[in-house]
Amino acid sequence: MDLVLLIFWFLASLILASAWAVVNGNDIVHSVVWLATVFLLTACLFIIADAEFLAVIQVLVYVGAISVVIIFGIMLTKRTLKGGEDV
Amino acid sequence: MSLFTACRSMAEWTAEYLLIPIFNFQAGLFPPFSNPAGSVADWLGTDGGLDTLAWTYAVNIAFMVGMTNLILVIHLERKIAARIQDRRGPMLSLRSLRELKEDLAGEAPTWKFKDNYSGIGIIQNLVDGIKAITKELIVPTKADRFLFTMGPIIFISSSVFLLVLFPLSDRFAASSAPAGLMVIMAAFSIAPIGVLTSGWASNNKYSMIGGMRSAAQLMAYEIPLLLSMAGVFLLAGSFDPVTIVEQQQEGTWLFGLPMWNIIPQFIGFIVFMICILAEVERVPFDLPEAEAELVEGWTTEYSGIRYMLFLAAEYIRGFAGAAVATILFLGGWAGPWPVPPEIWFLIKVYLIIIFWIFIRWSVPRIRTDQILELGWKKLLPLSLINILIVILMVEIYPYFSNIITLPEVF
Repeated sequence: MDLVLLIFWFLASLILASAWAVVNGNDIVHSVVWLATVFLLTACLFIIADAEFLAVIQVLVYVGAISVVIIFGIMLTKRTLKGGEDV
Repeated sequence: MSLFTACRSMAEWTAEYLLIPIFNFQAGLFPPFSNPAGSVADWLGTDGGLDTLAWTYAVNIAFMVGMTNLILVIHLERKIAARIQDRRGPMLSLRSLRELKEDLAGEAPTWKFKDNYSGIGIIQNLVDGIKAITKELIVPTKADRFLFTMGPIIFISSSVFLLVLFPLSDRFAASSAPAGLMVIMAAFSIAPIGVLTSGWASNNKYSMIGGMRSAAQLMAYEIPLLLSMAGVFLLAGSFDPVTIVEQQQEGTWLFGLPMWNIIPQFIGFIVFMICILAEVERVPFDLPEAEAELVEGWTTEYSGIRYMLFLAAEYIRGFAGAAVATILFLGGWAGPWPVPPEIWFLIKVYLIIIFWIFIRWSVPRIRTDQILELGWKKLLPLSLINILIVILMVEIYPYFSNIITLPEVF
């Protein structure tokens, strides 16, 4: 099998696994970290498609900005520490 | 000769005399050892295999150079901090270790150099590293184990990745990408996820406040940082560090000095220096780990080698940030002849780092609301003004250059 095709299937299965973890995670913060993983692996897909600049912008915007904003939004809402103490 | 061609000839030599014989020997053994070995040996004989091997060597060399610089930066920080506080700082040397041993054993000193002998203390870094490795790795009982482990991995790996991304000169580069500086900024921007997750997973009030401060800080500085870089990219017409540095050598200024980007884009330089200081989380922008308010910020619950690697990764980010500032605004590796360009580059980087160390011991920490106000109300308009100046220089001025003649300065 072609090496690039092999890498593609490997990445695609990893992306699908991470996306499954986003949906089925027990904790919403775990889900966001898996979402960042999905974005990062998609950037890897762009690299093997010879779209380097798109990959870099994908990491910069989606991983660097959007995931952080989502995590920040989750943390700003009312949360309790494990053990029932308020933050 | 560039680093890559040197590595390429090294790769050819090692592949021919070391790696291909090893894999061929392995291919003669029984399976499972023999299975992929023959095809690996064939691949190492091809052009692509040798190129891959050469890039691997180049990346390893750049990594070693970066780690050496990391030790020097940490040492410089401790020594200059000590001098500012009227101390001597770490003075441990092999000689003082021997004297200690003789002292403990009750022996007479074998050799005395002078009474107030003090070493440079570079060995202190080794001692601290051994201390950190031998310490216990504590995971709090109610911490989120998965993210508590993932946070350091995200933060440290994305920081170490930075070491191989910037070139020390046009010949000493371990990576070549047309989008070079954007790759560096992308690697910079992954780290806040690590900060947030490790702050959250520690299950500790102080850690979580530190992580949230880190996110607030990110929202304040990230946009002005990239906008102040955009001016340089517009002027050079490229994201490639080599092109940007070459473009800065073209124009001349007073007395025939090269017009580095710091001169036409001084506003952009100021904005960039403030924002990169916030990006690498140094004083006065070290809100996430404000040790007077938040114990140790988002690293409170980490111990042993994890904490040590957090510190190391922060210094790597500082070094990479100073390198980016040098490439963008200070003419990169350009300098008068007898000193090699790599040394010029390191001189400029170390000057910026020494400036940061002096700032660290001179100014108080900024508040969270102040940094948001600074970022959105002051730095963002200033960076837009900088872009406007560059657009006037690049796009508008050539049309009017036969009507209005600016003085030679521009």
